[in-house]
Amino acid sequence: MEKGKNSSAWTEAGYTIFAEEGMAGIQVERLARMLNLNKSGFYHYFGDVDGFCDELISLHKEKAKLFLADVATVKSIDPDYLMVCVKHKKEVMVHLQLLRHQGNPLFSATAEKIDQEENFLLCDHWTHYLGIHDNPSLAMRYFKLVRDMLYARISVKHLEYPFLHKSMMEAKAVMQQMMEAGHVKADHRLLKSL
Amino acid sequence: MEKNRNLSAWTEAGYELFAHEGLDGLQVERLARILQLNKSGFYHYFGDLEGFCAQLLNLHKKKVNVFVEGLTEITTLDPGYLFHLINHAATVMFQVQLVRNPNNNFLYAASEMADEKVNAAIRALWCEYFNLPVDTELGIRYYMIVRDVFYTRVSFQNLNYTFLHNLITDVKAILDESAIVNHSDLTDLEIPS
Repeated sequence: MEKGKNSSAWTEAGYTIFAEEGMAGIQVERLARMLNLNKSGFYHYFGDVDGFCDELISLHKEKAKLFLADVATVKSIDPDYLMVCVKHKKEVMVHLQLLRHQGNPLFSATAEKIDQEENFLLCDHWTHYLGIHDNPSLAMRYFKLVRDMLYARISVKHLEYPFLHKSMMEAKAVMQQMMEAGHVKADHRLLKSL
Repeated sequence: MEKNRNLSAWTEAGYELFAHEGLDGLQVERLARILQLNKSGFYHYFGDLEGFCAQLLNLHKKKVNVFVEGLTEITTLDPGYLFHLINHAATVMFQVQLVRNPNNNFLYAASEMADEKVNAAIRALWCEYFNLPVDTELGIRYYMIVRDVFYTRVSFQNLNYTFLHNLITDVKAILDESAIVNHSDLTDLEIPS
């Protein structure tokens, strides 16, 4: 029992640091100091930093399930989905760190799987939000851009509703301008053909 | 003479390290080891890490200016600008690291200055690629979204032509397809019979 508690103390602390700083923050020395534990425990439970990362990924998968369960209940992109992101701030930040370490196949595969489930849950809400009903696949391709745009400038501090709301409104406005620009062109073509 | 050479050795190595790992990568000990120089030189030239960072930001400003000046010779977004990004990988990745520190005002303000310069310089090429008039707001607003997507996805490893070309092609297809979508607010645009 004591053993299990200590091993999860390491992974929880590692998860928090990883959320804020990514892999660069994962140093055994530093974790041991934070937890007031002996480094030997770390090596006992995880073998090495790679073993520890595997555990962090397992923990992330567990936490992502709770995040996705909340995503499944949303009725709108703004505010419902955005509020779920704020609520799961730490998980979202870990997800971002996974995206930034594209060179690591375990990290990118984990991120992609969670993204796919999220896309599935959000598809209807997103097409509705944008007003594109006849082309959901286009809407979802745009969603991937918008999600990665949001990730560029978030931090634990910045991941709050006003920031997300403002960015989302901008993404929606740009899509509306793209659709209108097309209709203006179509009008020109129509006028020429008459 | 010898002094200046050493000083720029520190800043060039620091610039490269920051581009790869961000602020966390900057350790005097480590730089000294890479350069095989004594740490005392570092403290002599820069005082402390903060002084060193200020020098790195100065260097970044110069490199961004070189990047922007080089744009005048480029005539296409793809492949011209994409190869320009690849050729300036360290400058690009240094900028990415700055953006990834939104809590550090000192670093973040420097990233915004660089972004503004590039925005102004890229506008014409960007709009031309998307067949948008240069004076439309849409071009630059879409650019800012795509730039941030790039900031999230890019790394030294994937900063290559395939990655950039795929991104820009996807982005162009989204814009082109949006233009022909039947969206709900514009149903009054049906062709009169």
